Amino acid sequence: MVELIEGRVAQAALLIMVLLAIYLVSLIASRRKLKTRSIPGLEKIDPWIQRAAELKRTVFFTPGTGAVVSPDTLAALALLEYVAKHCVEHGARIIVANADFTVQQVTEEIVKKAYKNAGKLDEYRPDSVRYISGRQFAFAAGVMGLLRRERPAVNFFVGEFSAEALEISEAGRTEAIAQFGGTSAVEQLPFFMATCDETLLGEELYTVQGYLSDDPKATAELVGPDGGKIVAILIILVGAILATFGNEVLVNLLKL
Amino acid sequence: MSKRNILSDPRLVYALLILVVTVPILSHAVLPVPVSATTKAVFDFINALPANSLVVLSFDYSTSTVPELHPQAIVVTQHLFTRPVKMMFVAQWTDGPALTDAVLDAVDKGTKKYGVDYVTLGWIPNLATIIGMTTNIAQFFPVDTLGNPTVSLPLVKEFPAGKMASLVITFATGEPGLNDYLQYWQAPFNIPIAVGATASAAPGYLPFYNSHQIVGILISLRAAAEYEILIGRPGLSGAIPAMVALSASHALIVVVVVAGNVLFLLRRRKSDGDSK
Amino acid sequence: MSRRDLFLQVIIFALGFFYAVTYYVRVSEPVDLQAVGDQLFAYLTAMLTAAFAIGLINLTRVHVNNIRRKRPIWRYSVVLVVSMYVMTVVSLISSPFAIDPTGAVIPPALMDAVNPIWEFLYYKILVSINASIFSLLAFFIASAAYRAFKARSVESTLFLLAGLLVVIGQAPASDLIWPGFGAIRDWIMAFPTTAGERGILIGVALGVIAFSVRRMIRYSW
Repeated sequence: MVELIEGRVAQAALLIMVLLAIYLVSLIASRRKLKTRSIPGLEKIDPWIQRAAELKRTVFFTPGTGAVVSPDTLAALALLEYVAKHCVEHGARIIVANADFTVQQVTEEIVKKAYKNAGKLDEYRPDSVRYISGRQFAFAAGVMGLLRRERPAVNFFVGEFSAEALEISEAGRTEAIAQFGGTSAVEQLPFFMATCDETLLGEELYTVQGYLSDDPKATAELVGPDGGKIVAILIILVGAILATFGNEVLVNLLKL
Repeated sequence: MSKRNILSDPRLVYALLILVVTVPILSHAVLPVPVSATTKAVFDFINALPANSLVVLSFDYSTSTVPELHPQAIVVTQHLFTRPVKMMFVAQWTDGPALTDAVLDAVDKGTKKYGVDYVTLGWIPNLATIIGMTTNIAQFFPVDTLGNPTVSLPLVKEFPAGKMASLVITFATGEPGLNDYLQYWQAPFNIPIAVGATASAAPGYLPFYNSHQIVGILISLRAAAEYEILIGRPGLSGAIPAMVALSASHALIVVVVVAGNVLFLLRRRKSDGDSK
Repeated sequence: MSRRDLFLQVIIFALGFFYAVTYYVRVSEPVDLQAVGDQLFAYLTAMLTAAFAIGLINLTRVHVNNIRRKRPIWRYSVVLVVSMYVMTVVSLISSPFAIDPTGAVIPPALMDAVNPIWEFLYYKILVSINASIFSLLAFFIASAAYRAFKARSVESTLFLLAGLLVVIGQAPASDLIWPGFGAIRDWIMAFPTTAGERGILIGVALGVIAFSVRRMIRYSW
């Protein structure tokens, strides 16, 4: 027997509408070669890494405390690929700190692959990628100690973070020449904005892969979710106007 | 060290903060604590629960947020033990079961009996359990934290499914936490949810409160102090004496920010004057 | 795409599509798909638990190596290894996470003897240390606020004023000075803050949908 689950029919319809909108806008964007606004932080990554290499100091990266299944962590890993590649290119040592052992395995592979692709596998050091702790504040304490000892020039705090975000970014701020933050956790964004030179706000985190990619379809990836936003804005506007006049049709429809 | 360096040194702020927090606590200063609407909402909702309702308490915080959430858990649990309701204790965070035990040790259980009026089911390992226990608790929690088969517990026989709950209270420090209960308990079954939150997480829960998806929010240690007053048990969780320290630290932040801006504007004026 | 990548991508797509469908549609015959999904989740939990065990082994290997080679701060590695294993053993014997809570295999006398040790290590050491590290946030917030709240422009002045009003309003004593502070705080939290948070939440949700679908179908659109 197959039946739609009560309370989720409207959600399913909304999801289909949003997916269609994303697809259509992406299609239009790729055909019309739309220009997108730049994300300044991402363009500064390479010069920062170059500067770290000139100063003979390390680059620090942490994908946060999320599991490998978290979208924030996956987006962070996409950025790590880019950062690791440029660190190897410029000769800057990279240190990666992890809070989840499955993420540790993936980050090890990413960093090793960067060295291998550049033909410098002999320069890879196993202690470049470290597992600190699965506990939130044990991880924070470990990272704070690491930042004080290693004194990296550039810090990347990108991924899923909770309360430890401010602690580690503030600890890194004193010695670093630049800090880059990014998370979708709304309550941690103000802390990154206060302590980092550049911050990826919310959904910008998921556009990193597209933005840094050489693929011409990349623009479509960046613009696609805006299609979903158009749907959301229209529904909110229509719903707000109807509700103001006492009409609950849309509210009841969305409860189906 | 020059005067400019001292004023720019964050350690001055740290030293002042230590002072404004420790002096009120050591002097046992006490303040009247006005009760906020979000805390009262939780209190009123619990008071209005019909007799023999089931309340599910979810301990979704770790040892790091004990100072903020543990006092809330103590006062709310104590309130529930004085009401004619039944309770199930679960946890989405691994520290939850131990913290549940600590809370149960701290409250007066009155005449309520384990197994009949309350049970501790333990840690919820994954999303399937959160979803599955709404329809069959015993299948997803075959034993409780004491090793008793849950099918033998009178409370689980009376409430075999989580969707029979009249209220879920989650003391949440992050994820997993409120969102899982909103998605899988509140949305499909309309079970009322209340949340005990840390001060930094509370703004993120306000949209749900304002849209009536949650019945109330307990915000940080202050809510525990307010709740102590509401249930007439001042001193139960130790939150009230901390209110003076809390107010003093807030005042220090304001003073520091204003002072920082005054210095900033003076320096800017001076450098503008020098450049002319 | 290599055959291995294609195989992995098919699994990713199949599982993603399966969970998306079973979230909206209940299929009870001929196979109860919801039960299948629950079972897969149980396997995932088991796998993640196994990964945790590998993490334990890796940490032991790295720190025992540090001790053997007397690397800098090797003494902290001793503390780490000893505390890790003592806590593991004690917790397994007698704690809310004990492997034999009914005392069928482990003698109850041993459990009673070990329990106070566990309670001391957990409540007096672990809780205290964790709470202390979390409390560092108060100092960092103070120094970050001192640095970040500067009236450099019109926007930052508005940001500064709103922040100060909320900080004042959150203090328990503020309602005693003037009840208006609480009302202002409630208005700021209920309207501008909620509006901003909702906007970011919607944007993030849409970003996650697009990101997840791209991962599932490995197609950039």
